[in-house]
Amino acid sequence: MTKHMTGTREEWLAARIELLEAEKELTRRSDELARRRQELPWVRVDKEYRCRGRRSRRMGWTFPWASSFGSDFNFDFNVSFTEEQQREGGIEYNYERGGHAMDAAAEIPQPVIQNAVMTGTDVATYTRERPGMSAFVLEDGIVYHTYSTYARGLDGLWGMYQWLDRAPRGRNETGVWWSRHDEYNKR
Amino acid sequence: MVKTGLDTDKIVSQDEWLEARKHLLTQEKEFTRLRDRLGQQRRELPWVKVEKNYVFEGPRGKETLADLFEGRSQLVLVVYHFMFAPDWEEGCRSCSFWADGFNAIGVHVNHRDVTMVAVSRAPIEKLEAFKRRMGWNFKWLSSGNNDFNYDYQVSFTPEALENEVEYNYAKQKTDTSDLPGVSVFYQDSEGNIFHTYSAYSRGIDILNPAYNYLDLVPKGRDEAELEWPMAWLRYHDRYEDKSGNTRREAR
Repeated sequence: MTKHMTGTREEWLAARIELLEAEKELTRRSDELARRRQELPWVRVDKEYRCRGRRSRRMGWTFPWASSFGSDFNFDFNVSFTEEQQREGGIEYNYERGGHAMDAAAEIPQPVIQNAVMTGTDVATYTRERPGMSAFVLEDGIVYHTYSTYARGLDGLWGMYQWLDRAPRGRNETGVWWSRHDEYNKR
Repeated sequence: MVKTGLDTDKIVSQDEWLEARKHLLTQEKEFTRLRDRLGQQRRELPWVKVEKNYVFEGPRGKETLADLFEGRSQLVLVVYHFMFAPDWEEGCRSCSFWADGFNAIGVHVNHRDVTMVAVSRAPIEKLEAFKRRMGWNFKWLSSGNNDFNYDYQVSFTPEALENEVEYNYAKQKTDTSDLPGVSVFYQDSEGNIFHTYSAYSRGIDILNPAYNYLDLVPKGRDEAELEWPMAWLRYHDRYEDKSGNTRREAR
């Protein structure tokens, strides 16, 4: 039998309605943040970046996926870092310089080691790449950079986390549990 | 060309932008922490034992609510209440938008012992045909022969619609027999099933990744001047121009 507190429909409803108020407040704050993002100023992008596009086969994805190989794009938008930056503690990620769990000086957490192995590389090379999302706008032929987000700023974009946050045990994670969608049965 | 009313004050140096961005980042981090706290509060909700034996019509015949858990150890079942009434020809357009967002995540949440399904009142043949057309692979069951949709307050009888109905934990007037929602169930080791959570209306907003992306771009959702917020939305195979450029040329 479950150890979790159970109740009547009425008891559940009273607790649920209290939570609903907090959820509505979060939705309003989310809307407010979206408005503030729209108010952010823009930065003109003067560099010309050349990217090469190709379709991804194995994963069955259909979105356009371009390679920035050979350009400064990833470095300029703070998702790729040089060996020198890594050595000298100069990695600026999520608007903070240094102090990241993935930096060279730090003790590398186990999930990062696992992730490096799963991408077929060593930890140092793996941690010179970090996730992020950037938005641009094209106005009268000129490109402007409007927004970038990193680290847990991406949390809302990972569809599955928002669903898991509604399950009784939430994300229920202690380390890396996810795989590429075609690799779960191989583990 | 879409007029954005671009004023030159909006264009700044990298340093000025960074200052504004860092200020916003503080607020975004606060939001993330608040969202985590809400997740914790949800887990603390009491549970209600499900006493009815719901039988659904699935792709391979009849399945009870207990069958839907598929034996996962955490035994959490997330039901997306997909609006598709028996006499409709197609599933709801907005729900289809949400389904596009969750279609690929089933295999991932399965590895957190969570099973995800969609449930609608339309007969299974209609659900199967529409699912094929849309290229989805999530499990979709018909509750056309049970009270499930009515009990979890996403479907309303014609008589109920004459008055205010209970939706999103409030009395409201609606003309629609079916509305969207999400319900969560837990099964313990003895097979008892508990209802833990339901959300409706804008409570499921955050589950749509496309909206989460749109909330990060300069124009946001850009729905304020439309007749209703999702007036721009089509089934993914029904956009007039796949590139999405029609709107631009029209102005």
